[in-house]
Amino acid sequence: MNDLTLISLFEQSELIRDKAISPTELVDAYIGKISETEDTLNSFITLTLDEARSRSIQITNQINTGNYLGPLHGIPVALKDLFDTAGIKTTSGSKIYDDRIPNADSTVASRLNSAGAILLGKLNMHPFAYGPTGENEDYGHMHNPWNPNKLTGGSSGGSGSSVSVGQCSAALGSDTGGSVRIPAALCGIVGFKPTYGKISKYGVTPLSWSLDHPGPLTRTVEDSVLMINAMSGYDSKDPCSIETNQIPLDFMTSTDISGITVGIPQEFLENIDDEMSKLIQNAISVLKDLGAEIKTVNFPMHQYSESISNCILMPEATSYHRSILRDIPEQIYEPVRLRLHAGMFISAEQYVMAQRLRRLYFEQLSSLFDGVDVLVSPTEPIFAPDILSDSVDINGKSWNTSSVLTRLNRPYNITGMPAITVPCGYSSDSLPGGLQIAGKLFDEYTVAKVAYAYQEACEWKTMHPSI
Amino acid sequence: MLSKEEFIDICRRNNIPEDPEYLTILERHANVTIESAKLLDDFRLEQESPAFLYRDFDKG
Repeated sequence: MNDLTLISLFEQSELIRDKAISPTELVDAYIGKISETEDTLNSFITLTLDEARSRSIQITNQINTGNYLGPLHGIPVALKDLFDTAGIKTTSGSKIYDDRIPNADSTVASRLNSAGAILLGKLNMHPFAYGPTGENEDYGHMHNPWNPNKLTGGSSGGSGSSVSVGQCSAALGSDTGGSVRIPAALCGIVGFKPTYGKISKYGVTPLSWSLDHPGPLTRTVEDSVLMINAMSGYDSKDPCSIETNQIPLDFMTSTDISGITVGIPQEFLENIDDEMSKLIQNAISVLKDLGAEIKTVNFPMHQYSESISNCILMPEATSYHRSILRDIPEQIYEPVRLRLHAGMFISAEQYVMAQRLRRLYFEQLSSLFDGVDVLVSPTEPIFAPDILSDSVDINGKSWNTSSVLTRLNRPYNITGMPAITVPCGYSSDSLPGGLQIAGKLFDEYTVAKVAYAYQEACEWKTMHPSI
Repeated sequence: MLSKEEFIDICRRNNIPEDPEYLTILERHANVTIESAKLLDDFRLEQESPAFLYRDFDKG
């Protein structure tokens, strides 16, 4: 049998259901992988391995006595350390909260628990989720499994590294300007941000509540869909929660995507690393070979993406963290503190203006879907840069690292539309690239269908980092 | 771009610690933020309401 820690959650689930492996064997395999790799990667803030092993024994007994709950039963998962877990430390990536132990689970932790998932631990993250690189001086920086000198991306950096190397079957992240998709792309895995409101934010430390989206990071498209289906559904504790349908898994029956039109926003192809451009052009050719019609589209308002996002995100983040910013600013990681203080320079009028413009922006991006089913772009303009690099070079021009990393992700946070990243190949330095596929509100199905067809046409899901 | 006086005024009103080295870096961040926000002045909105993302959409 292949390395248990690296096969898909979907395959693991079938093996558990058929009693070909036990949840305890799977947990033990992950404990072994964590002990081999964690010193290099620093994916976790808190490990709950003893509890995981005890739970795996209980679950193995449940399954052996005919009480199989479904596809997540016995599956080892890990959560970004901003999802509250009852009785388990939840820090939001800052030592300020190093002794914070919530009394209650976040809704997602509760739903994963009810589905029979086994928690292996809480994952490292950019402090307060306020940064796209995966740096953290309090708990140590996160390291990319494809090259530990490179950043993981963030803010869900530990989620990216842990799934990529096989420290867990699936991880949960949160995405405000790309924080699920960025680490997934830079670590060579799948990250799926569903429609705003589809997954409850109750018990999740906010960065910016009107842009925040929880979402899974997994090794395959179908794994992400299984995770979303387990966590979604209306939650009265989250005022933004929406009742939506489960995503049918029948997209797995065929990789024929004839009849689907793929839009390529030209603005999303500007100022992209040359090697990344080639990967994306190859990916578009694969989609065409699978039967999709390819159509060029334009999204002029993309030039305002960063401004609209910043004018909403920064004041909301500053507002949420206002008390620690006032009382103990010196304890906040300086780059994060600077962003929080900079949020004080956005006026109330500018915040409201950005929320009003959001509607125009949404209408322009939505109008593209009158002629296409999905929009495709690179997830990132670049491959993973060095840890702590402030700037990156794209074809001879220097750019701010954080600005580049969030450039192609923000449109789908501003609009709330579902977006996935799937691996699409490697640079000459063996660093992974990601293909972003986005859809209409609530149309996760078509996004998953196109992503799955692409995934199955390529060999990328079989490639893993070797640390 | 903020004048020095405006910058100091906002810092004092928000109790931002007066560490000169930190304030120099923050001033740069603040000016980048303000320049970014000013791009939104391109728009002259009259009737648009705040964002209601789900208006007119089937909720699945």
